Formats: sequence, C-alpha cells, structure tokens
Amino acid sequence: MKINGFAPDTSVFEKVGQASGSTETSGSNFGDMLQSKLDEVNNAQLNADSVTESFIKGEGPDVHEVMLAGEEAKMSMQLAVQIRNKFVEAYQEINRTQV
Amino acid sequence: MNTAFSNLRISASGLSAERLRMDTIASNIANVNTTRGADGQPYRRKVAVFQENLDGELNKPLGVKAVGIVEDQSDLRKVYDPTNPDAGADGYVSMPNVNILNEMADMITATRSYEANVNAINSEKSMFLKALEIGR
Repeated sequence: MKINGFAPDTSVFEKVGQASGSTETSGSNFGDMLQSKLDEVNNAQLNADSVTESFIKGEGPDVHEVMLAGEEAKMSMQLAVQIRNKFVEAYQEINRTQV
Repeated sequence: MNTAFSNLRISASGLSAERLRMDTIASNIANVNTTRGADGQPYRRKVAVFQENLDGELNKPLGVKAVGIVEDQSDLRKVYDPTNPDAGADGYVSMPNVNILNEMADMITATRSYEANVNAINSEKSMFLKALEIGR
C-alpha cells in the first residue's frame, strides 16, 4: 500500500544542502548584510531630509519629489521595523526552548 | 536608482511630465497676445513631446521622458489693427496661433492626468504596506 510521504520529493533536501554550502563560500556574513540594509534605510531618511531642505530653500526639486522621498523613507523604515519584529520573534522562540 | 521603489519612480516621471505639460500650457496662455517672441516673430503655441522610457536590455518600463518642446506650425491669427506697432503695411497684425479654449481643455487633461498618477502612487504604496502584513 502506497502512503503519501510528508515530503515525497527528496530532491528538496539536496537543494537545501547546496544552498547552505553556497552561503558559506560567498564570504559575506549575516551581520554585514544587515548592516548594509540598515545603511540603505538610513540613506533614504537622509535623502528625504536633503530633498526637503533644498525644496524649502527654493533650489529646484518639484513638490512631488519631496513627497515621494518622504514616502520612500517612511516605507523602507516600516519594512525595517517589520524585519526586526520577525527577528525578535524568532529569537524569543529559540529562547523559550526547554533544556 | 532604487529597485525597491522603481514603481514609484515610474509614476514620478509621469508627474514630472504633467508638470512640464502644464508649464507649456501656462506659457501659451500667458503669451496669447504676444506679437514678439524670442526670435522677433509672433509667439507660436508650444507643445511638449514625450517618449516612452524603457530599460534597453530588458524592455523594462521606466516611465516617460520629455524629448523636447516643439512649436505648433499652424497659421497665425490675422487681426486688423493698424495702430499696433507690429502691424504690417496692410494694417493686419499676426497674432499667436493660441486658442484659449484648446488650452483650457489641455489644462483639464494635464490636471486629471496628474491626479491619475498620484492615485497610482497611492495604490502602489498600499500594495507595499499590504505586503508588510504578510504573516502578521
């Protein structure tokens, strides 16, 4: 009698092994990646600041450029907050593990 | 530049385009009675020309770009006014080929197109925020 396996396609596991192997050889670690993404979020905030400032000085950017820079900064900040929530959630999950 | 918000950049190019169109319309309305343009000839109606902006390799849409502002070459209006300093020997003055009614209609189009682009931006933003709710 044939019973449906939980993961009938064993090639899935081979791919998982390959993926973890490739990340070890790539050289960049998780901390660096997190740092660079946080820098991008920070750059979006700084860009919004500078665009707003130059608009107030009457230097050039259209009003929609100012609004869009602000929106982009806000949206990337919200994304960063959501990612952080996921990390904290995962950390707490590990921390609650019974020893 | 930023790939995460490239959809916002597309709509932003539309907003810039409509602002440029609005500028040309405003110039046409302001110069509706101008008999001496930059070249000494009567003012001619100006039209902004736009082109689709595509990423060369992928044909990925990047929005719209302005390629130039051209002059409408249709006939100038002839008005009989011998007292005008710019009148010809026959007493007729060449007035700009600007029709104020057409300009008003163009202005409505530009305003509504601007609104449409703003609505597109708001939809893109709400889609982004909706994606942040995944797994919550």
